[in-house]
Amino acid sequence: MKALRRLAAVFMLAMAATAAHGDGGTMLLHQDAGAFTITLFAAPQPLQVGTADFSVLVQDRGSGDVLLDPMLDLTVDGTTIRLTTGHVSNRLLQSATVHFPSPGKRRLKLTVRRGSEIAQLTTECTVEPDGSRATLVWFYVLLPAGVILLFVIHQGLKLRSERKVQ
Amino acid sequence: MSDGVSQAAWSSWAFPFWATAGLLATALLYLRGFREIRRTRPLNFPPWRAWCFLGGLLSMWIAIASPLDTLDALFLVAHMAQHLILMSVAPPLLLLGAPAVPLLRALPRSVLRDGLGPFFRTPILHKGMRLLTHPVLAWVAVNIAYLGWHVPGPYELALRSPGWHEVEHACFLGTSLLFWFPVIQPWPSPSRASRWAMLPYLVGADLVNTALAASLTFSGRVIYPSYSSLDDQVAAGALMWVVGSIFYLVPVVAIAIHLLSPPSRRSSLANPQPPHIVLPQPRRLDLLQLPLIGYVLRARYGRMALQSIAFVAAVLVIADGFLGRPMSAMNLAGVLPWTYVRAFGVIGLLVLGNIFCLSCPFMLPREIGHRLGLAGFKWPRWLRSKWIAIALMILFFWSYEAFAIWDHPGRTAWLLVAYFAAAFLVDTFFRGASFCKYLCPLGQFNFAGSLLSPFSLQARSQATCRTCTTHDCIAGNAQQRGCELQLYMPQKTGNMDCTLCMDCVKACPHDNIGLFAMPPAPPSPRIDLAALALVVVIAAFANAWWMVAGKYTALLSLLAVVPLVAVGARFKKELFCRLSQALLPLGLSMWAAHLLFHLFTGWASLPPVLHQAAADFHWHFLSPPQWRMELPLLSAHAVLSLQLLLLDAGLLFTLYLGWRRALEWAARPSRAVLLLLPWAATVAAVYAAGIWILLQPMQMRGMIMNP
Repeated sequence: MKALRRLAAVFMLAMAATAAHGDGGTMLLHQDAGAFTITLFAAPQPLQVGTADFSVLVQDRGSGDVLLDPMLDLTVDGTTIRLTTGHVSNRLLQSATVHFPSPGKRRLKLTVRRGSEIAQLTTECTVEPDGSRATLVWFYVLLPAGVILLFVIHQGLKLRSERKVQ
Repeated sequence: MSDGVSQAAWSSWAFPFWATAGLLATALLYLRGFREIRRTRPLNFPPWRAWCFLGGLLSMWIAIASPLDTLDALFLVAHMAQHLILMSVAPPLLLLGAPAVPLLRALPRSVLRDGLGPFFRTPILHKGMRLLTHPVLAWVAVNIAYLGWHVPGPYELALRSPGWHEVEHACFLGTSLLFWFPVIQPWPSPSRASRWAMLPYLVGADLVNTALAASLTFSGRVIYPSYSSLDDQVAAGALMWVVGSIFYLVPVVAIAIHLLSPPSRRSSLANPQPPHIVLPQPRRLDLLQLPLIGYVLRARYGRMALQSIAFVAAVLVIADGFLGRPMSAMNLAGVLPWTYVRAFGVIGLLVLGNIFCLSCPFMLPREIGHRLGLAGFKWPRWLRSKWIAIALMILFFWSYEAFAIWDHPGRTAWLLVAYFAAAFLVDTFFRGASFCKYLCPLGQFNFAGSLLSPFSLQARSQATCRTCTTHDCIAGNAQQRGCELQLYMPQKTGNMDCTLCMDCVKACPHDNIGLFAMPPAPPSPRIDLAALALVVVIAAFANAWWMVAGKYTALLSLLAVVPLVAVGARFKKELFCRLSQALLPLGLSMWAAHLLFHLFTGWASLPPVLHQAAADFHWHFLSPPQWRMELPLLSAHAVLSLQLLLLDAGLLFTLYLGWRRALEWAARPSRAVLLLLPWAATVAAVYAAGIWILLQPMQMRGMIMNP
């Protein structure tokens, strides 16, 4: 019993860590444009119907230095969103949250402005449907329930045949 | 249809993953059973049966994966061809393969006897089978399905809804199997009706087919609104009429010829004389006896070759970690260990064994340490347990999150350097494999996981071990050292502490050690091993949870831990140990579900990262990296299906092991149920938490997925 208590204490200690958020996500694009080298990340991957985070890292094309002050605009389906450093803990990145209401291919346009320098990048991403996930999940949750039911019947039959033999 | 469209249509082969995997698995299972049954009943199972069965599976695959499936939405004739295959080609071919006995013989005898036996002995199953295969019921069923689904309403429904389309195909295939059953009479089913009755049986079905085909051909209007061409409908009717009739009438002719042939010939066909048969001894699967893998594992320098490759990779990771790009997704240290090595390590544990320890890169420096000749100390007796390693493992899991090691290539590099240094220092001064056995957290993770691995090093013959006087497997000899982890082969059960180093295999002078397929070993009563199992299980969920729940992880993980420990505390120590180790399948399945997700979505990360590393090192033999978007290896739904399936398998295996352990403990099944219920409820709660985790959007750590 003493060992068990010690064990419990060890686990509690291990789990009492503070969380560290990861930013960025999956790299969608890494490309030189104008005076910049631009890296675009997206999360989650694959992109699905619902909310997605887009983060951008901008570097000086010549020196490779990270630039923190460019103004970034992301245009998705005609809607332009300003990227900010507000809700990311990695301060090298600027990010924005985009809501995808439906699946399909989306065209993304990223505009980078810094002083008089402007650069634009475009790319495509595919948003996958989310609708059939519920069916899928129910199937896989009910699957073990069915197997357990079969197992219970199996054990009952086995027990009965053993009693018959005795 | 233009050439372009036509070309596109005919090149539209689908690849239905699960259906293809299922058909392949069935084919392999059948072939294995067929080989077994051929040894005892060669006359009942001539090779043509196997060809027929495989042909049946192939025709099913063609029906669901070929352009017929793509074209069925455009052309009625293609759709009818698909139905013909599912109703008249695949079922008779499958039944000609007499699949019941080979498929059952392919299963392990214990599964057949203890698993399926109780079901097969129930009278209700026999009655059900007799009813379903009764010719009258089968004839009515197939024709109801055939006519019912060709009524415009249901037909259009199947065209609109993929789900109903699947149901339609399942109806056709299922009822057709029943229909063809009395015609083929697959061995060893008894005859249910006179063979003469099969003539009107088949002709009657052909008349129904003819009536339907004629109504399509001569209706003069389009019956199914989804198909606009009357010519297409006429062609479909003609196909059903001509080809469909052939499938019915050819068996009529064959049966008639058989019935009209002389009785002596019929009798010899029905009762072939068996030859004299010598039953071969059953053989255990021994990986060391297989051609390629066996050679690599047994080769004198086989392990060293694997370790050298891993060592070079580790050195590259360290170098890139310190000198390369700070962004983990663009650095070998952010991608190779966290996306690839972890996933392949867990896959290795599930399908083979402890392959990470087999090819461990940290072994080479500790070998050098050993050769310095300073290893004069024995590892202190009071430290000979897993507690330090468990503490280090917890420390690792905590620091992995707290310091975001995955996101900092430099920290990953430092971690590897520390690992090399620790392995070198410990094994320089202490004898044996003290680092591996008592300290290495990675090793302990793999030891715990390998308790479920399907293969284990075991003695081929205990009798040989009993007569052995030198015990080279543990003591070693002049050419080869023995087991450094002090595992004595005749007493070894399971894989705990086994690094698959093959020292025992190479040292045994009797060649008496093999790598055999084995069931999981009985649980150990040691509390430290129970704790190790619990840490592996809880870390599986906590690590994944952290990625989706962030700061709430600590709180939620505690909620998962408390009932586990509380439930355990209710039981006696030995039972607690048994049940804790029974949780391993659930934990390992969660690790696999989590890490395979990263592998499948980021499978193409490595090439650009390698190119980037080469560019950073100014090695110009590789071109500059191409960071571009590519599709993940599997679709999101396929990955989720695989993850859920893994978790289901883990849950079921855990519950089964728990049930076995409780039965061993309790005298009566009713007492075992009472004992198990609170534990099973906790397991179910952890499983539910796992499902929830898998459904959350997950951070894509340390990877460049070219999406």
